[in-house]
Amino acid sequence: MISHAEFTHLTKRAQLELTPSEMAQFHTDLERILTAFARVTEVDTTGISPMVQPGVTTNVLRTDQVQIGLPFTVLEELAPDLAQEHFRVPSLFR
Amino acid sequence: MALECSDKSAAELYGLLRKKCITSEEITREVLTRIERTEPAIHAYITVLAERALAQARQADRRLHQGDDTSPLLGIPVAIKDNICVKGVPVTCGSKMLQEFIAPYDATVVQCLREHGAIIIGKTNLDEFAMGSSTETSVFGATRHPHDPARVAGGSSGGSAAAVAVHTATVALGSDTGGSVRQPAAFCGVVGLKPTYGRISRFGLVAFASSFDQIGCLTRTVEDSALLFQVLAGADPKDSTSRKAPPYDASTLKNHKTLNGLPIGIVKEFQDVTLEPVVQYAFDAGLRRLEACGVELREISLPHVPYALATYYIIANAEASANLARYDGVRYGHRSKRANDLHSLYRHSRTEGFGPEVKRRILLGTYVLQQEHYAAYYQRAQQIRTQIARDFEQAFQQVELVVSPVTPTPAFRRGEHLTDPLRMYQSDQFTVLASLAGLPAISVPGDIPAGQLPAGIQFIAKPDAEEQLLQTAYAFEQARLDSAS
Repeated sequence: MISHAEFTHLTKRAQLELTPSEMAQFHTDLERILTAFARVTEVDTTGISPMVQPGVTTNVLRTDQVQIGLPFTVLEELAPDLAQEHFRVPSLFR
Repeated sequence: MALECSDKSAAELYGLLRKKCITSEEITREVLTRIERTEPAIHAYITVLAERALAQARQADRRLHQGDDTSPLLGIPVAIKDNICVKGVPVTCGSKMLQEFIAPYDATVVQCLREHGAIIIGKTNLDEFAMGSSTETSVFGATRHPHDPARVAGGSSGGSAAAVAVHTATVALGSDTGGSVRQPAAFCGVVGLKPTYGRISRFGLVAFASSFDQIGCLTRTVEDSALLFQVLAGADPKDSTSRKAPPYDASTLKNHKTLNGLPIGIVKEFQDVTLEPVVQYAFDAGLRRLEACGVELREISLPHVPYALATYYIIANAEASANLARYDGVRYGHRSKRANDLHSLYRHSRTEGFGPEVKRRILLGTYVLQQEHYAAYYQRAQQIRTQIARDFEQAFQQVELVVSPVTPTPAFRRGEHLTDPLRMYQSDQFTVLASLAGLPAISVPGDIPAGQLPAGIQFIAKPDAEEQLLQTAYAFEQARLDSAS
């Protein structure tokens, strides 16, 4: 149902690097789950609006005022790697 | 003192504290001692906050000494599921991804508990990122069933349910996305309340599936759920999905001691589901008890029940895949040391940080959100969700509440469902309906034959009808206790 190439592409989109055995296991699991869930295609949904959230029918907007967020000193304690108040990451380009 | 105060409900402790028969520090010390004794076997907690809890208890005793009578939770030990932020304390979500993450702020519910003088005793175990029905996928290991350590406590709020069941917390907070409060409550023989979507603020709850996630209450009595809900319910400017509903008043709980004439619906489509004998026994006995209380049981139809489980898992996992995209190893959370460029940092950090069930759900969610599958799965599931909500609207024209089992089985054996995701998901088939429609629901312990594992009865009510839901659950609970005594 899902080709190996399609599943490999899916793992890239999900930003996951799976081992060959995980690839095989999750591929099988996904096919089983989707086969079971395919029953949703039996339902006639013509003209039915999708529900995004229960009970929420209008936009909720805040007043347009600047609010103070968490101070940087708090955030830096959570950061894995910092340099001069920036989050340091490996290079994007090789 | 001889009194086993950790066995008392919050409502009982309220009276004892005010009569000065006991202090909050004594209660807290007793609970901490019990935690030391039971944790090796149960593993309900990830973090125990002994010193902080004792300091809070002494503060509560000072307030009580000054005659403070403002809160039913003043001086009461509360456990918090470890996906809810308590400032300065790890909020791990049971995941390697957040194992070292210290919450930088309090969730609104935690702030509320602090203001009411509750004692935050610790953070409880859960399935990784609340994705599971057994509390086995936590990176810290499984929580075990309070009556049989070879079995699971249910999930994902299994730690909170087990802590309440073994009296290592008087009450606890959980989160319920598709049944994660009600299912472990049923497995462990305690009460689990999932309020209407938005009745309790989710600010500070780590997101799993945002259109479902709801903080709920795990307690040993319905009255304690009512007291906890009274304290926590209310709109919050920090959570735009929170509801502006009239405040809940727990003193209304005992207003309707009789259920005489109350129409309650039994779902016709659930009759096709095979129940294990103890669950069937509890459900049949529950229906007989409701009838004996004067309830008018009526068969109702919710035609889209057969599609509910698939609908729930498609939408919930789509939302999960989007919510968990934030974990990339850059600003917080686990960072891989193997990365040699930015993209491999993302991939390796996520691959090392997430466990198998979370990966499985991210893959499923990513799949159904792909452009080529979006209409067939995600959009269609959202449309069926609308139909399920309409089914309930129609049913509620005939009845005031709906009654059902909570789960098709009692607590299953550890490892039994772990490698079969579809089998694990089946555990939620009775609970996802209220989640899909955003309705309030409660799991109450049912009658069981002696020596059997617990099984629960679920009541589902109209939006914002927690008052009626809790009154009904209370009357049911009292009728059961009266017949047992």
